[in-house]
Amino acid sequence: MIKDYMTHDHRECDNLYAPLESAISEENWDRALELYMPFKNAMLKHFAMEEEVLFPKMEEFMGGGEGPIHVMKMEHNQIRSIIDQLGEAINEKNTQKALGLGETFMILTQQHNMKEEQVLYTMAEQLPFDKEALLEEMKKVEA
Amino acid sequence: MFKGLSLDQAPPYEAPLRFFLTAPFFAILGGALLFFVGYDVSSPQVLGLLHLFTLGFITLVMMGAMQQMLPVLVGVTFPNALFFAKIIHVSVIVGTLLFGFGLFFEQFSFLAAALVFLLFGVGIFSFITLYKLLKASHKSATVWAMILSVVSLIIALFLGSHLLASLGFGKVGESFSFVLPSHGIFAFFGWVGLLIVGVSYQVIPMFYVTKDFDENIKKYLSFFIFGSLVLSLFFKYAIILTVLGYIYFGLESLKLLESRKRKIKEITIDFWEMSVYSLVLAGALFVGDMFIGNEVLERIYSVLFVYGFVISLICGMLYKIVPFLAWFHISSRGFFDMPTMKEMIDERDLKIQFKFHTVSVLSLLILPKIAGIFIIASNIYLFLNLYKVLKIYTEYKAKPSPFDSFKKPA
Repeated sequence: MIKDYMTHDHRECDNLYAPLESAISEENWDRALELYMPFKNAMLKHFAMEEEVLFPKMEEFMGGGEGPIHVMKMEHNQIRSIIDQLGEAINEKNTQKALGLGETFMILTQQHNMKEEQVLYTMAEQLPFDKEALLEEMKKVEA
Repeated sequence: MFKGLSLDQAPPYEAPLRFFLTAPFFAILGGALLFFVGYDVSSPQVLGLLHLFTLGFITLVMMGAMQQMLPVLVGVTFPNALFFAKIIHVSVIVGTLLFGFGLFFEQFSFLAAALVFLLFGVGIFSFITLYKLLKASHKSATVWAMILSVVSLIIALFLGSHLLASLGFGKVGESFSFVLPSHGIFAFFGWVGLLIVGVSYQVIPMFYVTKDFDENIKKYLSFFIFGSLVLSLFFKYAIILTVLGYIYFGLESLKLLESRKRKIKEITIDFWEMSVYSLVLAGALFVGDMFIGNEVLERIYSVLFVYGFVISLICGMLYKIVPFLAWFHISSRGFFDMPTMKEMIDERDLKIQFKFHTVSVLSLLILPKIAGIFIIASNIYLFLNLYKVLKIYTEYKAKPSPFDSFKKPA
């Protein structure tokens, strides 16, 4: 349930990124600016759902520290930083920089998603808490 | 509850990278032998030459890639990742060199030593990897394909050892001509092919933002391929089913790639397309040849399978993995000012290598001797492109991490 929802949300974020990248490569900067914010917001909302609701819940059962959740949060920070840099590159209308950052963003995010989908969400599904209630709580989070 | 699960980006960069960076040298060596020495088609020389590419290039890269993918896909790491990587790497390299030179220059005494090194290196790798894969709590389609791939590797290893021992001790008996094709099909359609199938399920949708592979393909294709491989041991025409499975996979991949949402045309797409076209064409020729039995056809489809399908795909993927991992490891140490993936290797250099690679495939079909030159050029370029990334990584590795400045007592 959580796994399906969050996996689907990953794909939605990818779908918001793809047209943004096309706009950058065509140097259509107005369009790129227009597409950047919804993409960024969707990413931040996804991170917030995890960091504010899902991860703290999982940590109640698994403990915090240097474990997998810590690694996921570090990667979120890496991704956030690259999204900000991408925004700056779009503002500067620097095509090569923006495309380079975009490519790095894409692979970084994909391998991160893979770990969440293959491992972390599967863990979450196995932990003894009310998934339905938690998912509702996650949906209410604001970016 | 989840003890032993790690989502860290283990192993260290140096572990998979040593596999990726040594692979081109085997292709360069193969190219040099093709050009400067040439070979006799009906002698074991061909086998020696072939294995410089299949073991030295393909298997080395795939072993490195698997060590990188297992933590991401399955959430398990190899014990002492760097040490593990080093011993496998060295034994496969030494084994392959002894094997290649032994057969090529007919120094059959080398083969016994080659056997020891390969059994050790490939053996340790395959059994530990298989054990780790079987332990995965959630087995996705990719994990199943990898399991069948590694099982095929083990089968190919044992069949291959028998062949190598027969040659090494000069006791080529009746079993040789039966075991040889079985070894070949498990090595190629099992180990190499199934790993590519399994990884494609993940990589194509993710890197290029495409739809997922059809659920039924993911559920059944790798079992169908493996099952038909086993069946072909008893009934030779069953291999047609295997190859049809691959053709279907190729066409589906092409369909996904063409409908991708990331419209950017970058070089790795060219490598993928070349790979898939080669696969489909080679598959069709293979099936036709089952009924005709023509030597020219055999050479063409072998080149297309090994060099066109597999090596093209590997080049494309290396250009994504190697810069990404460098970026990731540098970034994980707290740096923000490093080049992006695209800035690490100049797009123009990638295009030049792609051209050399394309000419290598085409000339291998017509004039293998001349192809040697292009294979050398293409792989020197491949190495230099990857080496640029390594240089950036080492520069940053030598700098103190920005994190350290936070840790120092005030």
